[in-house]
Amino acid sequence: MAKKGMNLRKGAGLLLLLVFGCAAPLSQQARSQVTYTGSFSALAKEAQKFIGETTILGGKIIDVTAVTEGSELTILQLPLDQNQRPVDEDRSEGRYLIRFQRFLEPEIYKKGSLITAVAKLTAVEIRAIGQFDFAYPVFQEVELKVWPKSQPSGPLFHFGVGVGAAF
Amino acid sequence: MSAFILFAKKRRSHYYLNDDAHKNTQDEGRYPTKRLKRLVPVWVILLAFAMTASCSVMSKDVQKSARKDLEFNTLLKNPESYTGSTVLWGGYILEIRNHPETTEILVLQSPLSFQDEPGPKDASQGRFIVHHKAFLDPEIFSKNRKLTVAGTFVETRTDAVDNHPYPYPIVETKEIYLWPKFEGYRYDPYPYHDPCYPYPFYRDRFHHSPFCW
Repeated sequence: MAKKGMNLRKGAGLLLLLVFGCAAPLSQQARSQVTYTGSFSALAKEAQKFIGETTILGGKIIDVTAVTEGSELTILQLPLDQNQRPVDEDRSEGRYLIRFQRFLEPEIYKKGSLITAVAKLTAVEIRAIGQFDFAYPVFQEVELKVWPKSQPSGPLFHFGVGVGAAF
Repeated sequence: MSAFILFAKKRRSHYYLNDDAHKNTQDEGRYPTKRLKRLVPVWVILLAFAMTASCSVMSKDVQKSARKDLEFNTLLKNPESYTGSTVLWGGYILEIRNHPETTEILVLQSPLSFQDEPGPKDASQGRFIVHHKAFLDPEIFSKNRKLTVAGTFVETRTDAVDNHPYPYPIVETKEIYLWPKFEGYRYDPYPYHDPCYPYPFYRDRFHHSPFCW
């Protein structure tokens, strides 16, 4: 009987883990502010038209700079998976900047870190990449999530047909 | 796909075995042997097609026009006579330069192997420059990434490697393929072994199985 109770508790624990494991990386409060859900490339193409829109963004940090009012991240856009985690493959649709009212510690917000953010488009800024003039959409932070490096990029569950034995 | 064809072919041959037994009966309608016999060449062709298809990452079009017989070294010896010919080259990115309208990528050449993937760096016969008529992000086309390119050989341009003048062949891109980053092997953490496990994240030639389409 005691053993059965243990199993129940284990099961409950596992269920709890599952629930938390799938929790969204962004708060409900931030997500409720989103006004634009279309593709990034469409937004970047005619950024002037979308100023004022709030959207969910994914990407990889290219650069962190501290400015007088706070910090600025230069980000390589990446698509998000179903857990809203960026997929670090080569399917980028461009770059963007996010500005923060607070200081971001460059040792934590390192180059190469993956991020998911809710942010509001405020401007378009042209900056050079080599000799190419790149038009960066500039966002203001609503909420930022930095993903730990060690987490696997694939889904935690895989459904497939296989032949095997379990004991 | 090829696995399916093999399977299908096997099943058809079962009908052949039964062919004689049904020759003198009125059952032929139930065993469509005649039609199947006529279809044999089709199966053979399909099988041959499945075996030869998709061995390159480049398009059929470019593969047809590219001079695969043209060795990198051969072209370097006598570049003028090859101006305008389509080449299929690959290698490792050394440097990327963004210009106002175009992008230049300096590549360490390496002979192409299976699927037109560049081989080891040690086999390199030199360097070349890829000239692309649009912006390519240096964060994606970063140093040491593997690249296969099909394009037109334009000319050689002498540029310095440190102080040594180096004649770079220049290729105007028609098609460009960046090979996925190699992130090391992953072990399958599940007791049920699934040959398709890392799909679609690690579908490279080491993890490829014909059953995982």
